[in-house]
Amino acid sequence: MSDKTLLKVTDLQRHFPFREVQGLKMVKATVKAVDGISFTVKEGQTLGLVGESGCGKSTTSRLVTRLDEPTGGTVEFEGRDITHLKEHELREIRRNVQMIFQDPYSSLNPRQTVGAILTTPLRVHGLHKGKEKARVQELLALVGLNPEHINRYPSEFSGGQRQRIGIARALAVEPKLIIADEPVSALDVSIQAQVMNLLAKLRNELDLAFIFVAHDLGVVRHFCDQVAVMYLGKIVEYGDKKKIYEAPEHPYTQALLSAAPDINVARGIAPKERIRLVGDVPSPIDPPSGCRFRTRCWKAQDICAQQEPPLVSATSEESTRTFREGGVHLQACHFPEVKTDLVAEVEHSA
Amino acid sequence: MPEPSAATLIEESEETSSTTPPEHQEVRTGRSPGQVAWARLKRDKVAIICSAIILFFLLVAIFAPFLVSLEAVDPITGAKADPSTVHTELVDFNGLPTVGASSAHWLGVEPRLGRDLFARWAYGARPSLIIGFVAAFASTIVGVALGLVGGYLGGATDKVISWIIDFFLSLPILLLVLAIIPIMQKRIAAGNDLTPEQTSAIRFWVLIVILVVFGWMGLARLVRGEVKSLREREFVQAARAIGVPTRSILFREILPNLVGPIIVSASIAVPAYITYEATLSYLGAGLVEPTASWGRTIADAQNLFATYPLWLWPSVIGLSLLVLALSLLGDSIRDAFDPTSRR
Amino acid sequence: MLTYILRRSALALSVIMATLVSAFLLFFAGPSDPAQAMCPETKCNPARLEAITKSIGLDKPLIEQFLTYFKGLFVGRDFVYAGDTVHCGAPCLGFSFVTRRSVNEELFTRFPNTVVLALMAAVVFVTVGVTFGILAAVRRGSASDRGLVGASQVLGSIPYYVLALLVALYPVILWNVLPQYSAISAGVGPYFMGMLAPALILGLVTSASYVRYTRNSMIETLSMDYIRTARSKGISERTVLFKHGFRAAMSPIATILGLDIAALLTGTLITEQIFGVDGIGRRGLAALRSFDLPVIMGTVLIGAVVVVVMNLVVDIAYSFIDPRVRLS
Repeated sequence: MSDKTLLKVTDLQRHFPFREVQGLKMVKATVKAVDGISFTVKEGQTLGLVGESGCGKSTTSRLVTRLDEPTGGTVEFEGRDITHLKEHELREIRRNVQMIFQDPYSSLNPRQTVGAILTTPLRVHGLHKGKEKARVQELLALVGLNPEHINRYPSEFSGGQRQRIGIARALAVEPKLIIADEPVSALDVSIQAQVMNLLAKLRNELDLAFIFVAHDLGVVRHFCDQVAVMYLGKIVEYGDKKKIYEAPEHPYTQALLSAAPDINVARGIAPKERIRLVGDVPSPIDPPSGCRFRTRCWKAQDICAQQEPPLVSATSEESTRTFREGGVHLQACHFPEVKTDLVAEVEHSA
Repeated sequence: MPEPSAATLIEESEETSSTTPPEHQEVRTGRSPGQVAWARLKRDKVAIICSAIILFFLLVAIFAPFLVSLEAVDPITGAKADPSTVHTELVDFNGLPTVGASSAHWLGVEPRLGRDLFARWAYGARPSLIIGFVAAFASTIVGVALGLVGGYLGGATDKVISWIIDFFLSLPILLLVLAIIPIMQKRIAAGNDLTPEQTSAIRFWVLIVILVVFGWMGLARLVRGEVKSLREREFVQAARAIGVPTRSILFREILPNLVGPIIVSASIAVPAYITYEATLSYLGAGLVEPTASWGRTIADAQNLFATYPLWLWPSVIGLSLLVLALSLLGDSIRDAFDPTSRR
Repeated sequence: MLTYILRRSALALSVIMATLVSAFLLFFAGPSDPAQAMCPETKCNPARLEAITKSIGLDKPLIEQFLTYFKGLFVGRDFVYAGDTVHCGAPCLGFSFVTRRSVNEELFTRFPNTVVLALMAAVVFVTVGVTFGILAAVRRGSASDRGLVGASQVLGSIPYYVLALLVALYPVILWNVLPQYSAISAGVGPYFMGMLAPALILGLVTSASYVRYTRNSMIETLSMDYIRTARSKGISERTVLFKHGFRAAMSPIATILGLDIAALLTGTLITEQIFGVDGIGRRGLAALRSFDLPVIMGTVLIGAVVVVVMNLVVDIAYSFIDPRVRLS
């Protein structure tokens, strides 16, 4: 793990304009799917991007991989601004940044054999010319599949095996950064662990950087170095894994953490405190003024409706500690407060 | 951070994974969906009978000269039969044939002109089949191309294409085609002195062009809808993330997924175009003399249907049987690609 | 809702306008010379040809001809004919080159015959199609189901005009089982009796597809959970079928019915020609033979308007039933 910054995202925005009909008038409105977020990923480092569905985490991954074009802010990869590059200028980025998709059933072309699916990236980037087949079999072995299955169709594999094929496809171009968009959420729980283990193994062996998108804090816990918690297109808390899990400051992070399933609860050891959020996530078309979380927050006061809390370090004390330990911890709440007792037991697996 | 153990592979447990939807269970044999459909089609009795009938008509069309040469020499004219030579010596003053069905004229001769009816019938299979297949092929290309472009690009291009589809679909097509064909014919032939054969050939190709111009919309709409939904599928996103060029995405990733609906649509289009050609010929805007065509023969023969049914019926049976066999085969192909459509 | 109707209407109007312009360009800017067609070959000389061209206004610039036509459609226009000025009220479709009568008169007096034919056929295909469709769905998998589906496939596959022609030739003309068409002026009874044969064959052939639509829609509805719930409550099979199943199964059928109007128009065109029914389709075909452009234009326009308006009505009606349609 080096200190070299791989990906730098600054004030990233993606607004979807659309026209809405109100009575007889056409009203222009925008969905602010991603509304000004910043983060960095260093070489070999893993960032977890966590939030409920609709918070903009999938849009963010599409923007970083440039499957979609941002409407504001910048995306830099290895110091190069890729925010508005044209498709033909993105070739180099396409080699270095890859994506693993959520749904193993729709992420593989049902009309292509596994061999064809894995040869495509090699052919597009002219890798392993003349030895594509050997490389494809090597990739299959790497993700724990039988290299003899090269001529099979995706429909002949199970969900977990298909996700392994998707991982092999991402690895085919030997990328530096992989964006994994909820790669295990469509799988059975028993298979989830296997795929997570595979990802961890690959990351260590190939020294990959990851952005791991998830909708709860449970899955990313053992996988990420840093975590960014998103709510309605904004990052509300961002920091080293240890800080986020052991000393969350933002009420939303605390609520998410308390909602994460915990094996000790099943064993009868109750957490000291449980937070239950009420209501639904508000519409991103017309988000709440000030702090976006205030409509569901138990701490909300007048100031929360008037001023948007910036993403800052909670205390000056904190910032000095940040300096000393080399860790980062930012949050966006007017009334930050550390809660430590949200999880029955912080570390439960050996 | 606790180090996760290296992945342990228990493929057996994954095989029983409940995330595998039921439709994926049956295809475990290493065959592509097209091969599965083909296997189903081969077991379909209706499809086999229909294919045999279609093959019969194809052979009649291809070997028409040979079949006609099997007829005996006519004792009166002293010549072998052919589809275009007029023999007024074989009809009386009222235009009725003086000879019936014989070894020289298996189906007798045409009233008024005395042409050999079997030769007219055998050669008449040609324009039907050529128009049916050529028009179906061309309109499939046009429909797929416009559907792909509109569905994948979206935006203004898609709006324009959708509007054109809506526009064409709401036209009274038969009437318009009836009006356009003679106009196009005149425009092409303007100022030239053409033989009847040339006029007939021009009409033949004008007919195909017009059928294609007014026949691509259904498939274009279908392909557009499918592409719009496929475009959002993750495997297309994955191809984009890899950097696959747009053209390859369209033709290598998306198009293969549409092979089923396209084949079904094309196979249903063939009989539809044959019907259209015959209908136009019957209404007076289709093929013209001297080309032998079933539609024209039916139109001419209806006036003498009671006194000379041998003129009318071979073409009626030929046309009906061919179109019926092609339509039922089309239905079978659709069922083979989508077994749930016949429940 | 209102916006949806307006938006949809604007689209429909744009289609009608495009039809008008393209049809006009096609016919009037085309190389076919209607004046030539009207000029009897034996007595035709350049002077006479020119007089005819002038009298039907073909010597004027194309744009002027179009504007005149366009104005006629919306505010009506006057014609000078044999010294008299004849007013032609909106929507004026012009004057026939051949009969020298107004196109409106030519077409609108014949329109009822087409409508009667289409409606009688619709009665036949809706009753036959829906009845046999439900029968097939209820007896799904039985010999009668397979027979009905097979028969509908065969009937729907043979070229329609061949079937119609055979019916016209044999039962009507040769065997006199059914009477031939006669104009309404010859009596209402014979008129409707004469419509019977064309309406029956058009209706029966069209019903073929409705048997299959109804069958599939009914089978789908009957496999729904709420039907199973109704059955498990002990409701009689009859009530389940007609009160619960039938209603839900019919809404897609109603949609297809509205959208099939274009196919039905094509059907009436062929039927009118074969059975000699004096409708606008037959009039249009006659006009084609004499290159009577205003009548051809009028027929094409009426056809387009009927199709577009029917589609519009179906879309709007459907958006009341299913609000999701409005948003797309």
